[in-house]
Amino acid sequence: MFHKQNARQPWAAVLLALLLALASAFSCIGLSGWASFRRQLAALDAQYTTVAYSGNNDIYATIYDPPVKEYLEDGSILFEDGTLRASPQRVERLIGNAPGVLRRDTNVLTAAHTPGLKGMSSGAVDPLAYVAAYDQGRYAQSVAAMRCVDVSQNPGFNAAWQEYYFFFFEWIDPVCRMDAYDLPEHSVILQVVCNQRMCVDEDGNPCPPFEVGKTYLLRGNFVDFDTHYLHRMVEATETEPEHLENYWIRNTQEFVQSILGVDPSKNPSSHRTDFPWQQFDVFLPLKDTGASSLSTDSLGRPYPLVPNFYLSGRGLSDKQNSLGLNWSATVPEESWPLYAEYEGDWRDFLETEEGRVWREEIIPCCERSHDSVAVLLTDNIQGLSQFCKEESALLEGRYITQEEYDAGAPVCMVGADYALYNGLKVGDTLTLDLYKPAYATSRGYIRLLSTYTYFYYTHCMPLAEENRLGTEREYTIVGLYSTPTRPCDPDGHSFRGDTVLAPKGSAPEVLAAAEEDRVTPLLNTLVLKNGSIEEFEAYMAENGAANRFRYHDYGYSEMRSSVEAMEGSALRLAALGGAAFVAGGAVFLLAGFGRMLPAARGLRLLGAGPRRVAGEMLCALLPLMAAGVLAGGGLGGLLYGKVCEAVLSQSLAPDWPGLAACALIQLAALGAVAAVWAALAARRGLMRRKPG
Amino acid sequence: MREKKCVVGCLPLLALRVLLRRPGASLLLAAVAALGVYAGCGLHSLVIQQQRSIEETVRSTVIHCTLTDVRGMNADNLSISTAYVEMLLGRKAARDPSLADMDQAVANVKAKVDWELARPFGMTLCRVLSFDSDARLEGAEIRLDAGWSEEDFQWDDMVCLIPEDMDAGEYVDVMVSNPEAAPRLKVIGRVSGGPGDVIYCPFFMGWGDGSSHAFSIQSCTFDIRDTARLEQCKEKLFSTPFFAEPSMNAVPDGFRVGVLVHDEVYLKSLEELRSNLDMLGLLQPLLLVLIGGVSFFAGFLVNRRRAREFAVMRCLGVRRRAVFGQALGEQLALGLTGGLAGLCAAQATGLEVRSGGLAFSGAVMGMFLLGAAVCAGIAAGGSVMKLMKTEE
Repeated sequence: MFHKQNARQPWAAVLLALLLALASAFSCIGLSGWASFRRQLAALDAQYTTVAYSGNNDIYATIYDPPVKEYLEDGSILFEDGTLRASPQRVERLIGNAPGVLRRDTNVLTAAHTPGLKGMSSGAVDPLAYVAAYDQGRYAQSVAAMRCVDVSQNPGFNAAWQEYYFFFFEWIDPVCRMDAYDLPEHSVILQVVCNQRMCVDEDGNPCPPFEVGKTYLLRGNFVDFDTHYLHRMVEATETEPEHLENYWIRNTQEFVQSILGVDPSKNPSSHRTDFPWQQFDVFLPLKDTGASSLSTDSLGRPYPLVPNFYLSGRGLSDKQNSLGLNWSATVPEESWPLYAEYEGDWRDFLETEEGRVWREEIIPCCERSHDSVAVLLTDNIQGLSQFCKEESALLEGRYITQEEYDAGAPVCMVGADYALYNGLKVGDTLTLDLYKPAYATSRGYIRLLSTYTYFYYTHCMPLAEENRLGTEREYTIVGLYSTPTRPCDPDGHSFRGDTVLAPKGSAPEVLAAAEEDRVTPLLNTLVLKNGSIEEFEAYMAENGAANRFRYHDYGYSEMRSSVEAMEGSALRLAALGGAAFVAGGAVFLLAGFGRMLPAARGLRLLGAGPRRVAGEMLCALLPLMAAGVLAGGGLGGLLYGKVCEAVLSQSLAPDWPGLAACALIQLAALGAVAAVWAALAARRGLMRRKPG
Repeated sequence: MREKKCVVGCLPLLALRVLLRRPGASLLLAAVAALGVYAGCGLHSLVIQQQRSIEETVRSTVIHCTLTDVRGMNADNLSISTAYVEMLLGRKAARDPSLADMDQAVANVKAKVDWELARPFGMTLCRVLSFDSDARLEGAEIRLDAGWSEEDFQWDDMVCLIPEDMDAGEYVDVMVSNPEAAPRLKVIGRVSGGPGDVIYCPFFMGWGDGSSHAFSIQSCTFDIRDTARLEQCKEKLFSTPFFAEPSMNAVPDGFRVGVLVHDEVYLKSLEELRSNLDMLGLLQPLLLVLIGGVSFFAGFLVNRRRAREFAVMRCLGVRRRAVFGQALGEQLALGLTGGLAGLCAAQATGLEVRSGGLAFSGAVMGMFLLGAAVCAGIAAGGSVMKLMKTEE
């Protein structure tokens, strides 16, 4: 009956469907706009990283603090004035409950051998940029042939140093050392630093390992003269006026001689004085009879025990402990020797059976360590404090994308200076022979005149064969970043351009080998929800941990008003779309049922039941509704898509599955309302309305 | 004829009765009109709001810049003349015309130099352009004597800030060994919570003996003066022969320095925000057409149901024009009432109803009335017999 009515008046039916289509198109565009805005907001949000990294706050009481009332179980301090200073353990616990914390980025640091590429020690490009802390572990690993010229006990500086031996050696040859250290003015005599516990025998009696006059091959870290800057007057030239110039110098013995008039390298007794020395550091961490490390790094974390790079400690009894060292240290039997006495030419010694381990294992390990890079596996480069502080920045190429982080893509960023040093460019591939993470944090310094800027630097250990993971991975360089010449971030992880930044997922074997409990806090970053710094800091302050974090949001706070406006726009667009559909739908139903009511009344008068009449009305309306809503959804999506494609960015493309779902929901809702309306209309009293 | 006049005279009353007799449809039409106007104002207001927030973002965003070598490296190891700082401060226009108005492109230049003092022994003299030039002053409290301000540190007065606990009177005698000079600096403030061994003085402070002020610095950063003019500011910087955009392929010549502009995140965000604004702008006409369409059909369909009514009026002798006027008048009354309600709602909810909003609303109303007029025209212009047959 009602189908016939539609068929007899097709234009009216088409108009009805068209009305609904337009309303539906409007609402679909509104909803698409809302969805796109949400996506845009997410994209915008993703561009900003709000990070918190812990500052190096001293948690211990100082003379400026009020009197201590109580030391709490978790190490926190409660002062008499009621204030609380939270311990690191408490801070850790607070972080777990703090508002706005999205995740903790635990970055993993490791080292990799780079076949065919040169390692870039701190002084490789500019010798005056040398800082010992940067080279420790890998680049400084050296083997040297030297003659012991003096062993002195108790040089008499102060009581605390009384039980140390001071060893002075004369260079014979640097057997294996980075070329960057081959500077013309190296000293003749250098100081050797070794673990003092090596200097006692099993009974705890003093027993220096080196004898004056003998020649040794030693392995250890070579420590060059430090550098610092001075100023001088530069006379006027044709192009420049007279001006004061700051200049960096190596603090060599020659430099000191030029100031003091004494040459410590020529005066046999002068080396006992406080002159700058090149050093050969054969200090190794101590392992107890079990498997744990007795030595700690500058952050108090156990020193890593890399095979062949530790000493065995044996506890001294009270009777044996007259020097108060508690432990004696020896090179483990299965380990490489730390030094070897030889006679004649060291080259001949290397050819002997005793020299085989030096020739075939120790020297290759040094060479591997020289031609290596640090690899920082991270899923948030812009969350690294050095990038946050704009000390590092993208120079060429691009950052690693979120998709690449998620997929663990073999892409990386390297320092521009490292790339320049090795002739690399964006798009080149880098082969990394990865090693098990093993690192320690030392306290380094940069000397500016007589003042020192201290910082923590986490350095990787030598590339021991036992730590080799056996996976050579090829990474594509997608970006080059700039770094300071002397990075010294006091709060976060400082790194130089020789650090390869790659997604964590790109080297799962490294992650598997990383020891979670050894992760230094400098490598950790707390990622906060954008815009939640105040809330987070307020929570920490409430719990006695105020000012324990440094924050950075890349300027999100300045962008916040726009983001909020966008959020408002998105909601309003969605609301407008919904309202338009409701209005259009209401007109559709009103007009649709208005057409059918007289006929429905006639049907009822002819004896048709209300259910049948309602069913027939609904059956006649449903095709119109379906056609209108679906056509509207398609029209809305198409218009929106065309506009976006033609003019705007890809992030605004319509979400077709979402639109389809939206159209179906609209159809279902309209259908439900129509069903109720039809039922009510069909049950309407037949005599209420006067005929005619 | 009298009867006819009577009917025509009663038309407004008839219209009101019709409206009262059809409250649902009338309210619906008014609601459609109200919604159309509200939607128009809403969309316009979204565009305005988005524009304002982008302007606010641009205004409040600070773009930092770092001086580097021409390859973009060694930002902390430049060893460049202070002349570059003077150029950035706009004080070297006489040297090169391209440096004129440089201070209109850059702001908040930060630079510092530490000099070891021979006297007071163990102290360092730190030349600063501003207090945030030295990270050691972060969190420190700086108290300046009356009449002095941070800006004075950009000039060459022989004044200084000393640590809170330093024992000094009105003046401090400092001595540097190279060049040998022992100026007397007036103490103009104290620093508490900062380094205890640093005396701060203006960056370009002279020695009081007429000696050269020129010296070299290791690093320098600054901000873009006006983020809204970022491109012009960059153009201004790079139009000089002294500053260049860093490039790995550049060859250091000891003359040009690189300027690393940290604007990547800002530009990307701005692009997103602007595309969002563009989208809103493009949605406006699209939605206008759709709202207009909805209004047109709503008016048309609701009036179509009254075809028989119009036919009866025609049978009673009412002229076509009068029927058309009647139908349109009713729609106009409903539309205007609805539109007014929409405007009031828009105003009440803080939407932008001026100029653009009103124009947009007017267009929506126009479409609404067009629909009603077409319908009324059809109803008034058709054959009475045919109209009478429509419903039966």
